[in-house]
Amino acid sequence: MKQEFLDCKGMRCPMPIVEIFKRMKGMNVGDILTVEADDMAFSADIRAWCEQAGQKIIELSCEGTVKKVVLEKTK
Amino acid sequence: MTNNDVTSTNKIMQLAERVDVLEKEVKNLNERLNKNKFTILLMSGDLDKALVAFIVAAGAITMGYQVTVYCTYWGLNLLKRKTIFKDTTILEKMAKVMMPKGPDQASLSRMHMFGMGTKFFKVLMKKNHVVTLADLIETTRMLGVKLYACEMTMGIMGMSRDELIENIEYGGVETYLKEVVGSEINFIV
Repeated sequence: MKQEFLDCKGMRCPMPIVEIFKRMKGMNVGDILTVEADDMAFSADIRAWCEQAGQKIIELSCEGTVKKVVLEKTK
Repeated sequence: MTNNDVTSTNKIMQLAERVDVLEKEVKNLNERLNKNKFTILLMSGDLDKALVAFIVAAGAITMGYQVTVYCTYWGLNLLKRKTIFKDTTILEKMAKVMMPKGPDQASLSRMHMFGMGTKFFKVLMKKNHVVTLADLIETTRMLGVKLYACEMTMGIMGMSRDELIENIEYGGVETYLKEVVGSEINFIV
């Protein structure tokens, strides 16, 4: 199980999810990806994306304008 | 066997046949209805509308859809990379001069105000770190969007394939409809 980090701060919709999508393609099932983003719609978008794309959110937290999400690649 | 029994057996056999026919039909329909296709008919070349179209396209790809963007009329200008005046009529030359060349020259659908509004909007976009239309189109292409150019409209505007970006597909209404029929979602922008 690998741990990876992706910084999406400064990116706006739809780029954070595009970058997460691209990064996850190169990961294996079970790997963990931690993402930080400050796009306003990020919390809602990452939830919707995970539901549709079948990925798992382990943790979603908010610190000021920065949202941190821990994702597990499940497929 | 009584008469009643014979009638019921016949009815059951008829029903069984109907079920066979229906099962085949359902299988046929399932094959035609590809559940993960998303088609966008982009006839606008306006900056704001095209941004919406390509943001939705990018999002749909990340959500597992195969996305097709079919560009026609003003939308074709977004696929342009250069203008060639050679071997065109005077009317076509005039049309070419008036058309925007590529996504960088696209203007807002409202409040363009002779270019001032669009310039202002672009500054706001940059300030908010929103990607430019050109970058967004490039991103969706890298993600695997299928781009089509409408050949009928290209004919009207006197556009040649050499003027458009490379690695796109060409076709007419049937090509577009074939994509739509197999799509779960179709957007018209």
